[in-house]
Formats: sequence, C-alpha cells, structure tokens
Amino acid sequence: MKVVVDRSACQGTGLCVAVAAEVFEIEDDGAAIAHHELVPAEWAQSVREAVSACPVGALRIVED
Amino acid sequence: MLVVGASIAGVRAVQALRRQGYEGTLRLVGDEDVPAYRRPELSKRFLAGDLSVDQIALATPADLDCDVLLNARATRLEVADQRVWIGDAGADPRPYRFDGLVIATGAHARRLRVPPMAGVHVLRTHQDAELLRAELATSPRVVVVGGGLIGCEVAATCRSLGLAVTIVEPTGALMSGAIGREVGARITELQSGHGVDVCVNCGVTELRGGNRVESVVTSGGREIAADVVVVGIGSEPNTSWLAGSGLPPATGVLCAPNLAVVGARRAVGAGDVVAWKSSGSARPVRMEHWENAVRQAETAAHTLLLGESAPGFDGTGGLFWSHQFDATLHVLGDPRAADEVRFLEDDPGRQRAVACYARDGRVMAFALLNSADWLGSAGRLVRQRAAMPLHGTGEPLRR
Ligand SMILES: Cc1cc2nc3c(=O)[nH]c(=O)nc-3n(C[C@H](O)[C@H](O)[C@H](O)COP(=O)(O)OP(=O)(O)OC[C@H]3O[C@@H](n4cnc5c(N)ncnc54)[C@H](O)[C@@H]3O)c2cc1C
Ligand code: SF4
Repeated sequence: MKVVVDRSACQGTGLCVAVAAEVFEIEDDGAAIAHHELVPAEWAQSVREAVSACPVGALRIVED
Repeated sequence: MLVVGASIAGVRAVQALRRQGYEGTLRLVGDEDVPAYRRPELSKRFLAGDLSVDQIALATPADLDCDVLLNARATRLEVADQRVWIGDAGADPRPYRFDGLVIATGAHARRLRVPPMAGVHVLRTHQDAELLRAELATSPRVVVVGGGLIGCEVAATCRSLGLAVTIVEPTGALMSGAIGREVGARITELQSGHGVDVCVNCGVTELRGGNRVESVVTSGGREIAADVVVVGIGSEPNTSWLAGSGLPPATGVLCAPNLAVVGARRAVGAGDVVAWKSSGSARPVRMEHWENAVRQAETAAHTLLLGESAPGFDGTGGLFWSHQFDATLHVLGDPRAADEVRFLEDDPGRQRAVACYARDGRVMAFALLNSADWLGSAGRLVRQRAAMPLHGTGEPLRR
C-alpha cells in the first residue's frame, strides 16, 4: 500500500499526524508529508483512518 | 440501515458500515439541499473567496452503494417500532423501518434572543455563509459577537479582506472556553496584532437599529457602530425531531461509552449531536469538531454491527485545528479551564506557543500555536497521560 499527499490541497490541519504520527509530519511550509510512501503493514490501518479524517481529501491510497 | 444527517458524521458512518462488512440496504437522509460539504471552510476560504459549494464538497468514494435522500428531514423517531418518519422534499412524512439507525444530525448555531434584524448573521450552513459573504462585498463595519473558534475565524477572514472588525467577548480572552485563558490570551494578541478591535470582558446588552442593525451596545456601555453583526455564541444540538421519542432528556443525544443511544435499541449516535458519556466521567460531553465526528462515526458503525458488547469510543486523543490569519492552532486532548497550563515554548515574536495542560499531575491536552512540529510528540504525551513535570522539555522531547 502506498499513500500520496496532495501538498497543494493540504491545509495543515494535522489530523493525519494525530492518527498516524509514524507516517505523517507537517513540514515548515505548513503542509504534510508522508515519511513512508510505501506504508509498512502495521501502520496500514492508521493510514486508512488518516485518509478518512483528512478534511480536504488531500490523502490518497494507491493499493498495489 | 438508516443514517440521519448527511454531513461528515453521517457520510463517514455509511462508509464505515460498508468497510466493516455490512452488505444490506443503506439509506442516508439529510435536510440540506446539497451533498455533504466541508463545513470548516465556511469561516475560512469559502467566506473569503468565491468558491462554490461544489468546490468544498466532501470527498466521498463514488461507490458508496447507498440510497441518498437530500432535502429530506426526519421528523420523528419511534423507538419501540424502530421507525423514523421522513418528510421528503416537503412531502408529508412517511415512516421508514430500520434495523439499525445512526443519528448524526449535528447542531445549529445559537442565536441572540433579539427580534430579527437585517445584517445580523450566524454561520453554520453554506446558505449562512453565502448570505454573509454577499454582505461583506459592500465593505461593512463588522462586529463579531462571541470570540470562540468560529467568531475568531470569521474576524480573521473579514479583517484579511480589509474590513474594520470588532470582536465582543464576555470572558477575559478569546477562545477561552476551548483553550483556557492563558492560551486564549495568545489568540487575543494575534487578533489585536492584525488590527482587530478586541473587546474582552464585554457582554452584549443590546443590538440597536430599525429594520437593519446599526450598532452593538456592550455591558461596559460602549456603543459600536455595525453594518454587519456575526453571532458566534455556540451551537445547540439538532434534537427537536426526537421530541416525544422518549429518549432521556440531555443536551444532545445521550450515548453510552460505545455510542449506543441510551434508551433506544439498534441506534447509535455520531458527531456534534452526541452527548457522550464516557465510562470514567460523570457528565456527558459534546465534542464539536471534525476529527471527533470522523472517529465517532467509525465507532458508532462498529457498535451497530457488533451490538452491546462493542468496545467504547476513545475520547482521549481528539484534535481540532483553527486557521486565523497566517497562524494555525492545533489543540489535542481535552483542555479545561481549571487545568494547570505550562508553556514549553513561548515566542510571541514568531507567534509560536506550545502549551501543556495538566490535571492531577497528568498531561491532558496540548495547544500548539504555529507549532505543528510538536503534533506527534504532543499527541503521544496526551494519549499516555504522561506524568508532570515533563523532563527535558524543548528539542529532546519532540518527535
Ligand atoms: C463555520 C464553522 C467552522 C468550523 N471550523 C472547524 C475547524 O476549523 N476545525 C474543526 O475541527 N471543526 C470545525 N468546525 C466544526 C465541524 O464542522 C463540525 O464538528 C462537524 O461539521 C460536525 O459534523 P456532524 O456531521 O456531526 O454535524 P453537521 O455538520 O452539523 O451535520 C449535520 C447534518 O444533519 C442535518 N440534519 C439536522 N437535522 C436533521 C433532520 N431532522 N433530518 C435530516 N437531516 C438533518 C443538518 O442539516 C446537517 O446537514 C466548524 C464548524 C463551523 C460551522
Ligand atoms: S489531514 Fe489532510 S489537510 Fe490535514 S495535514 Fe494531513 S493531509 Fe494536510
């Protein structure tokens, strides 16, 4: 599973970091990045939660 | 299964029911005229610009596999018969039987108890925002009544548009209800620093004017000229349709720790409408933010599918955010007025603050002003209920 952040859509709300701090972080420009584009299986569930929580739909999962 | 309320909590509940394996029929009923949209944008970019409602539509998968009824209002719940009466597009209400019900009817804006007057607004729906936005185009003097999250965001948006803005707030600091006085003082500074006239310790005693509002009179006797007044004094849960259902009286729909509705079979609640009784606390709480609606929807769906034995909702790690001017505020956990507040970082020059809220020697919440780099570690400390004092504050604590 891969996760992609649309950084131009991201509003820096921090919800993804709150649910999956291992994977997401907010950079100095105020937008989120994913540390692991390829998400380790143990974090897959929290990444799905982050996708569902993101208020602007800036996160997308690409299943492989 | 029937989901009443077609905003974030309702839509996420539908998605969660499907994801968790429910294969039967699903109906989502909402009384607004458009599909779900991102309500937090109403005080931010939607108010500032010329976005249309479609541009703030909630991203939802195309294959929800759900029958959606818009312009349709639930008017009555019959607990014993497991029926909800629904009036579809103005037609007479008809009963719908359910095997499972999600109550996600959210809240509406509280209004001042004054006779209706042109120029006086609240902000909850896209129509509210469109009406307000249309008036902002005429360069009015804006007075915001109530310095909570929505009031502060409206003030920031209006000020950024170049308008003269005053906030009238009864407590000693902006947003003090949500984040306490100490951190609220930082928001007060932020707003004043951008030229908003912030009037704290100031109640509203009167709105003056004829057909249209002309001024706001404060408890201190000040009369503030106003072309537009925005009232942001909190919300009330949308429970009028539940009158007569026999559900226990509460401010909101009283729900058990796992979000099962108290006093009804096969019903759960999610989002702003819920008065949640956690297993630990004596009093039910209403949590009114986006992330709470999303997570409650997930738990509520689970409870509906699993039944009474479903595990409780985890209310410890909540988060809300706010954008005001170029600043971002993140609040994690549950700050209370009586908490001891410690600033781990405080840099007024850069409008940066990291505040930790402790109760009985344990970390209960964090407020981060322009400090998103703290989100990860603050979230961890709140979930762990870490013991105070935190040793080695600053750099080593982060990440
Ligand atoms: C201006 C504004 C700014 C905000 N900013 C932020 C922010 O920055 N950060 C944050 O975390 N949160 C913010 N919020 C809060 C957040 O938007 C809410 O917590 C969230 O919308 C709650 O979702 P909900 O689905 O529970 O309720 P709602 O969004 O209120 O939706 C309930 C839906 O049910 C419908 N309904 C009501 N009664 C009936 C009925 N009888 N029959 C059918 N349908 C019915 C309503 O019309 C509505 O569509 C903001 C809210 C507002 C108004
Ligand atoms: S939840 Fe969405 S908007 Fe918020 S920081 Fe993450 S990607 Fe950005």
